[in-house]
Amino acid sequence: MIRIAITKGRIEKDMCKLMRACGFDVEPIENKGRELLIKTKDDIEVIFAKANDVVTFIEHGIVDIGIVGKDTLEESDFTDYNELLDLNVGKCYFALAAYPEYRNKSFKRRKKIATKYPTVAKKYFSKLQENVEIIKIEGSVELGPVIGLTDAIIDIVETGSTLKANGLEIIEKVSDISTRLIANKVSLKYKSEEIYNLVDKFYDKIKKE
Amino acid sequence: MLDEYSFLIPEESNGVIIQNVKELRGVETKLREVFNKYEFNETLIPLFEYVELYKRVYTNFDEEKIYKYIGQDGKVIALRWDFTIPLARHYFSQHTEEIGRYSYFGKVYRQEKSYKGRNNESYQAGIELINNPGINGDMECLNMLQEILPKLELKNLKVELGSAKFFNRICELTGNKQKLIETLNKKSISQMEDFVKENNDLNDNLKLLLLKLPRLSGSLKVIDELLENIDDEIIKDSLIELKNIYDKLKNKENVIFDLSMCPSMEYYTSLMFKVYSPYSPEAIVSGGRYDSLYKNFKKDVSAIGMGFYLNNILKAIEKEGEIND
Repeated sequence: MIRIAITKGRIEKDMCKLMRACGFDVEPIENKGRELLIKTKDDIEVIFAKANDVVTFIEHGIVDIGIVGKDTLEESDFTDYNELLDLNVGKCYFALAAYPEYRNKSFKRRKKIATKYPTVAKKYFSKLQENVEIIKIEGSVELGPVIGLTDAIIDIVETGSTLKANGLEIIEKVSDISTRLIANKVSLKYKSEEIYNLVDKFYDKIKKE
Repeated sequence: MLDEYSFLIPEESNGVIIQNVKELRGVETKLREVFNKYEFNETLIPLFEYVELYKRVYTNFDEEKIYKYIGQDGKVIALRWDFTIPLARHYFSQHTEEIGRYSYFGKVYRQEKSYKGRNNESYQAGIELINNPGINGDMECLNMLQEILPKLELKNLKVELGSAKFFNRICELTGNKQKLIETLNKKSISQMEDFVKENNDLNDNLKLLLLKLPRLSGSLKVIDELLENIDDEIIKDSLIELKNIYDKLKNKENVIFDLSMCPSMEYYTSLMFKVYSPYSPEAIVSGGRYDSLYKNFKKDVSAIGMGFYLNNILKAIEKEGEIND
């Protein structure tokens, strides 16, 4: 038996599709109702959780496999996991975005940056050797420049339509994001056959596409 | 009047452990018996060290994790972060050529994020075997380990061997150590494919090996198969070294190899090993040969050491007990 934690929401949908395409039993997942822990016919237990919790469960060995976005992994301070496979779904990217004036404006103070990902933002600006003030926003990060709280944002961009609707532009792409399959390091020692069996099926499917 | 702080403990603190102390002392006693049998001298290492001591050895030292304060002399003092470096300094200060055998028991202090269920103070025991080079020293260390493990009464332990010599040679051949460490630490199949694509000028044999590397683990068969297909002399040497060690092991059951094992410390030079329990999410023992550590003290001395993570061992004993009750 292996236990998988899948990030709720869009990753969950992508994952369901991928599992079905690989011939796994997804019926109990699709009809899960309010159940938190679901067993499938393939001897897999599935938990649905918020992205950061998926990483916490991997850290504590509560689950063997986690399905989580690269954005969450980049922000997390826990790094001692195996990141076996890029599932090639949920593709988007981190970007620095602002009003067009940002490009040519000279700042007489530290720039203010709104983000949900302070670690990613800090890393980006330290590479540029620039000191900025980072303000963590929990909801719509785009609000930062719109309400005049910050000069720019670092956020995930999928289609860019929210940015556009608010007059914001991508100043620079920071890094690519997609959904990853991660594993607890000790689980991989004890359940390597089961874990790699799953990995191989996903791998073959991804390569065909 | 007592306020709330009379009752609370800080987030950093592990709390008073009473129920576990008996088990802890029991495990300690078992370790000490074997350490003593092999004539290791028990040491008591100071709690306060200069941060400089650690910084001099670890180039990528994560200073954030150190508990520190400014000492009386204005220098930055760290709470003990590990035992290996202070013991290396001690051996160096003895100006001796004899074999050094030291054991230790105590806590190390590392600052972790709150509310993640992590330990800021963790209890370690271990040994350092200094100036007993090559397979002699390796076997002395591994024999001790194999004498200790059954005493822990943990089921289904796995002893995993890896080679820093193998790893360092692969890095040398590919010329991109940082990227390779990132990729292999994560055993990432996708990242390795990208790496090979980006380094298309590498020779084909090496590219094939790299692509296999994230999954190159398992029984002795992994080593034997690779030996048949590899030309590089240093890689061959590193594999034969591992094989010789395996041949000499008294107990070969549950011994596995992981060729994608990355040196957790940059001073590792050849044998590396870890012990796992299915009831601990992290290794319970970790060790290796670090012949280059002493170069930091301008001395060419070989050494091998291993550390027992007692918090993880106790947790595994507890969890195994619960599950098998």
